[in-house]
Amino acid sequence: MTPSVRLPLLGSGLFLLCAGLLAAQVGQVLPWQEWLTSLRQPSNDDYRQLLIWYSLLPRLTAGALAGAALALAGLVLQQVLRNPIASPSTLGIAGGAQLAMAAGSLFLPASLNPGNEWLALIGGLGALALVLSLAWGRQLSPLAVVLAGLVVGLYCGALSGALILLHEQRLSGLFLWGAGSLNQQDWSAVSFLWPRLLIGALAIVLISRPLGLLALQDEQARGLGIPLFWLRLAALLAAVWLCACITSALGVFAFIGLAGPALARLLGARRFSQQLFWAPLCGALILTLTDQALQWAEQLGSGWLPTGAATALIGAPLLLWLLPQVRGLNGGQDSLALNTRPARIGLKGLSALLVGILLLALFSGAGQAHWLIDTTSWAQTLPWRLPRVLAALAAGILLALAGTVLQRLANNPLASPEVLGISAGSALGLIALVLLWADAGRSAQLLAGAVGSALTLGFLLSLSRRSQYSPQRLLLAGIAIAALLDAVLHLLLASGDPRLQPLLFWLAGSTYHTSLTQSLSLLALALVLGALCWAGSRWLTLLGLGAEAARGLGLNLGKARLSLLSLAALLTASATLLIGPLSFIGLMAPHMARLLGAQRVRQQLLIGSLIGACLMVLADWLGRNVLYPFQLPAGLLATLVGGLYFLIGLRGGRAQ
Amino acid sequence: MFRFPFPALLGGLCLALSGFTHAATYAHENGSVTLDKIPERIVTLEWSLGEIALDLGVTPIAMAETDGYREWVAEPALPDSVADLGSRREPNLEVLQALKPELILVPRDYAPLLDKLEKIAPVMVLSIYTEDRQPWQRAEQITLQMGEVLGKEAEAQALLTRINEQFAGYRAQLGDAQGPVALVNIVDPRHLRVHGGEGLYQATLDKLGLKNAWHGETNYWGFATQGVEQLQVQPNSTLFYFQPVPDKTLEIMTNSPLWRAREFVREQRVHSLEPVWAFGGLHAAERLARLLTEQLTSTP
Repeated sequence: MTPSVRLPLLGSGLFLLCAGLLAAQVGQVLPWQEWLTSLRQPSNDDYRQLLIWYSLLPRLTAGALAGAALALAGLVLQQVLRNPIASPSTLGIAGGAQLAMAAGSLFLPASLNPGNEWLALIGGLGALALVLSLAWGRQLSPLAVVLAGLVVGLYCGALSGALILLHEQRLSGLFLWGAGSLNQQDWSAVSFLWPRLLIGALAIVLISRPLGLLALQDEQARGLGIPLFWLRLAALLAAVWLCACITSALGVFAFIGLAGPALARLLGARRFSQQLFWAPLCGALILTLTDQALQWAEQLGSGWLPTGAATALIGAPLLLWLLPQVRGLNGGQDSLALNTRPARIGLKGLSALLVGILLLALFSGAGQAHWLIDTTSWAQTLPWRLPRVLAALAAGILLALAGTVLQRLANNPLASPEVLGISAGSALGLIALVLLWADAGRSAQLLAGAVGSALTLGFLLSLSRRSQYSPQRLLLAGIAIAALLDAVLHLLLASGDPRLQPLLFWLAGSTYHTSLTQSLSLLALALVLGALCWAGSRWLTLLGLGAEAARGLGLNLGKARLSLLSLAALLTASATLLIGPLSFIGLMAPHMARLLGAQRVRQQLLIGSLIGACLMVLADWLGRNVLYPFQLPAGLLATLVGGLYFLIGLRGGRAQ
Repeated sequence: MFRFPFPALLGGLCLALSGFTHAATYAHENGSVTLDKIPERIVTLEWSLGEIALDLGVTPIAMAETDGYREWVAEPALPDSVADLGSRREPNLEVLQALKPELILVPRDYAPLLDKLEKIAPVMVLSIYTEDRQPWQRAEQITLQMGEVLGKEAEAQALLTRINEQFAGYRAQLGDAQGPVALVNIVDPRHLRVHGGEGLYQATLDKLGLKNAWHGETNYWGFATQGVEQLQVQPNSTLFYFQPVPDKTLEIMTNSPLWRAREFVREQRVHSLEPVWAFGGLHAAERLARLLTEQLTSTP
């Protein structure tokens, strides 16, 4: 079948399915014999009729609007960034919106609170402004925008994570919001959304012709007289406007922005003008179908489930399944050169810094009566501090190594342990254990985490074997797994089950539970794996020259990639098991090493590990002391401390 | 020839010593602890066990998230002398050790932490909320157990008697003619947490002779999350929602045509209640019973 036949055929098939499900649902509330009478003489006393008019129909409309708007936003972002795995969440919009809502509900007096939707709008736009200003010096180049967006998103996520940890009871409503719920009791959300979405959609239609030409190389497009900078800026603004509206009114439906355009392309929409029509339709259909299925599941006794989390549950496997069929993932090769000045701090300086930080972390800290260096109670405090400091040290090294290997391997500055999904897989294993067996001890938890990451690794390896280890495909699969974890988490947190509260800490990367034996064995493991990385550095260097050149120099590509992937997965899994699936160190330490001038692989491995170790130990120390006696997880602090530095470094960089 | 009665003397000495040291062994959910004397410096990491200790007349030397206790549990009042250990999930072990506790009380959620806690002091594991879903019975049992360990057997008995008497009083005040009651937390303008199942709130309603207006599936803590429109309650029921609820949230929720069409809204049987810790002990149940009785008997 040609695309022009296939698209409408499949589209209308899905539409009919949706309509059928809806009719069946209405039939559940009100027998179909009464439909006509209720249309002719609607009654305000009949709760069943009210339920249809004020809950079922607004819910359907809101779902369709949200799906269409997010898919449209995702499509535009992908077009602008020339990156098929870009999605609204890549820009940190949801993170910014969530942070603004959390902070607003905590710190703004009720009289000054403008309402959640406005807070979310401000937060989302604020995140965008930050992202754009960070990428400004690079002419809003696609990679710079994605990188800045990812970092800002992580940063906002860490900040709201801290707020949620500190105000668990007050912010429970935000869990539901974060999970994306479509439950409606009137038309207020729909009437809030439609005029705003219409404005965004019209803006996109207006610039759709030049947008379609963005697929060309920059030079060609410029040659056609397209003001690239302003076009990208306008498109990004319109896309963010759309997602900010949806996020504020309904919550986060992360996967729709990715799945809608992907489905449209899969169904055969090749040209941008085609995709512009079909992607929103696909998005609306996916979200509506998911929501309908969910309502059926509820009637069958599944209990209430937030729709946004469920779309990701369905969306992630869908994407993984689609992945081998998606073609043309190799666009947008302009690499992101970070500002690479000669090293200001050498190896010696960094080592001295690390020793200093270690001493600080072990021997100083807030106490009941006194602060800072406290010689009398070392015998008492050291047994508590030593395992944590060692765990932080080892985890910092492991993550930095993993990040370096992954970034070199994928030739992609966005690669990091979390993006690979290994840490998410291990987290999923642990969650399954906690749900099945609440009283599980530490060793059982470690085992469950290991099983989870091993399964993810196996899956990734089998997937990449089929696609000749293409780094882009691997990243996409990893993102899908990470999103699956996110969905499961939101689902569980929304259920309000207090058993899962400890997971919040673990996920934020806490060294709290580690024992001395565990920390020492992790450190030993870090050294062994570090030696393996050192041995594999030649492969990494060769791979950095490009596949063709590497093969020409006699490298067995498949074997080298498989070994390096396994190594990176092992590095990530061991760090994750102890301090949770935190990713920022893995993303950040290799970058900082480059900022300090580490160009060669071995330099980057060594300096990156030192930086990772410094950051993690410092973060652990800060976490134990800033809000004493309350302790913040090290991973959270690492994100807050390191993220700031990273953002400043990113901003300092200028295009050559 | 005179033989010194060593064995007899030794036996006597032991008897005397044991009288002084009061060594006793107490079973708990994770084995048993042996205590040389009645512990005075106790630590309750979780709020519900702290509530019971305070009711028995023993003030814990430390508790996790003391501010949270004052806001969400409120009763019995927590003296200022109680040290704050930081978060409930990661209580600060350096602080805990410096306080030199003689006994640490935790529910089973702390299983991964037991190794560390046992290095500081003997630990007893006592959980009100388990898969058995018998929070009332568990709370009574744990009250008696703690009374025994803390040397407050009489106080524990008196506490149970007092609670039962109070409940009998409330029940008499309420009479038999009360309609069914729904207990909800307003999570946000579009979602509720409904309480039922076999949680503490349900046990409280049972003891008061009140019917729960809602019969749905719950988790083992005794609640379910739902969209506001999905709440299905029996006719003639009264709805109670717990404070705190932001004004804005309440305004949006109550403006919905679906909400206004509800029988309990049209007939003005919606009331707000002060916060009651849903995962507490007998005192929390008594507080809920008291607040409910006040509301139900003051409205015509």
